[in-house]
Amino acid sequence: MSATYRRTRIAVTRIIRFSTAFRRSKMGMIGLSVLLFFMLLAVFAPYIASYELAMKQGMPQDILTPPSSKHPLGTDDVGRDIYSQIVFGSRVSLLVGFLATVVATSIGTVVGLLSGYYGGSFDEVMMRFTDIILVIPWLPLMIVLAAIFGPSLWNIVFLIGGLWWTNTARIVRSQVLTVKERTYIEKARALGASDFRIMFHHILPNVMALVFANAIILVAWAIMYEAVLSFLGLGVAGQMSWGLILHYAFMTGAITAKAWWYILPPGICIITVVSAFASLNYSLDEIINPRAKVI
Amino acid sequence: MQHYRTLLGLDLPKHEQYLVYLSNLLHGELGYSFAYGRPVSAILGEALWNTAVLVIAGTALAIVLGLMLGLIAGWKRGTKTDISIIGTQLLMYSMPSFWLSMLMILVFAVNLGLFPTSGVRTYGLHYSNWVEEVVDIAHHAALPMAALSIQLVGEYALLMRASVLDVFTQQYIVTAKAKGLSTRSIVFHHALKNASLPMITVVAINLGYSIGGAIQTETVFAWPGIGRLMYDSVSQLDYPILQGCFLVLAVVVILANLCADLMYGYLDPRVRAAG
Repeated sequence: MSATYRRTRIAVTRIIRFSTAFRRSKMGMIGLSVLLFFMLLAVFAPYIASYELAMKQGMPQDILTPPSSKHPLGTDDVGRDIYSQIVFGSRVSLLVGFLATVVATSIGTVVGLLSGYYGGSFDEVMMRFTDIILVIPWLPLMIVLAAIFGPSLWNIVFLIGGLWWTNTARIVRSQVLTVKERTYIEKARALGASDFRIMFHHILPNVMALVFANAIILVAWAIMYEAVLSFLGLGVAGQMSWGLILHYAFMTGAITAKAWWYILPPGICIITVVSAFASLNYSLDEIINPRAKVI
Repeated sequence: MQHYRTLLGLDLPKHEQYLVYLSNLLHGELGYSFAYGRPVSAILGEALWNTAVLVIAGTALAIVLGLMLGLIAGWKRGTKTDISIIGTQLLMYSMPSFWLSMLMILVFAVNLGLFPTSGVRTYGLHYSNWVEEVVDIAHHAALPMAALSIQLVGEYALLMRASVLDVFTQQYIVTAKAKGLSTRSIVFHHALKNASLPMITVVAINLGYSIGGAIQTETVFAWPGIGRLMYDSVSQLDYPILQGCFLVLAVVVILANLCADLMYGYLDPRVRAAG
């Protein structure tokens, strides 16, 4: 039996064990289904909604009309179809959420690994830096930076990702500190493995589960803050997102016009997606971190 | 153009500009706003006062509600009461603050007409005495304050619940039970005080965040506080005001953390002994 075969078999067993545990968690399954629904919505947006309707301004009689058979969620202040805007808006919200998380998690994992493994002055500097980020209120900082860098998808992604890696870094670091003392690491070193190989081949797999659970909750927060920035008019320019719909709704006085169909749906979408990620995180935490089960 | 450059000190190199800023700061001089032409300290003072009203009242309400809800949820762990409290709080937690504010205006101000939609005072109203003024401001502050505190309640309740569950496993609770005390007495006299200790640090950290987070609420309610001032200065590129705002934020964050540390020592003698 080759080593590759054995390794694959261990991986497969692990996945099966994990998915059995996961399927038993009601919250996790609900979260996952909601998430899949919105991901399908984003991927197949052109087939279930009309981009043209989302962007085309209507005739005066089409302005701010309540839901009807023609417009399932009514129209906005210039007669655009709100249903189509929401469907296409899911693309920006999810994309920013995932990309920002990838950025934050990658930076955080690498910094955490290096910090925990080498310690010393690099660790000292990095941890003081995360301390600073921890106490600075994000939103004002984000607003200023977003205003300086200008509104584009990648700027928002790097802004959120660049600020939020600190939490991941701390989690990875504390985990690395315990893992690196285990005997198998010492054996690997005795066999002549390089620092790089030890970090990424021997330590990283033991940290991945925690990183993953943390990443899930980061996606939720990234989606939330993308919406906030878009609402303040600092989000992704030129593309519909849920925050931007609410920005227009607020700016054009949809509240005093009692246009509930303009205000409710985007917010409900944000809440649903964010709480779906939150419940996913909750059930993952329960599986990965059995201590939490007691509570 | 050149005249203004010299006047504002923009012709100096960056590090000298910073030294000038620091030395002015030590003299209590925060500079003048680009947009309003008034001293930054005066503008900040008004805004800080308005925000303080919202944040302090909202935080106080959130602490009381969060403590009670968390205590009940932890006490009745696993029951329908517990699950519904957790569910509601998770929902509140995943709700964007600005949207909650919009919803509250839509329901309570526009549809029901119970509260004013925005601002601090009724425009053009003349007060005959200070009681009327306070009532009018409170009337305006009710919705934004509620919006701010609803968000915090969720976090506090969840934290309190976890903390209560932790305390319940301690030996002195078992002792209290063995002495034959009623559950109610154990929960309120023995568990409440110890379980609320971890809240202090979180409340202190949140105080800084609340002032920043007030940006959303203040924008929607047109409440002239620090948050709204910050947002306006970003769009107007009013850097002196922005610098002032961040200075205030930093001071608040540091003071809040200091207060938390002192409070901790006061409330928990064990910490004092260790220090």
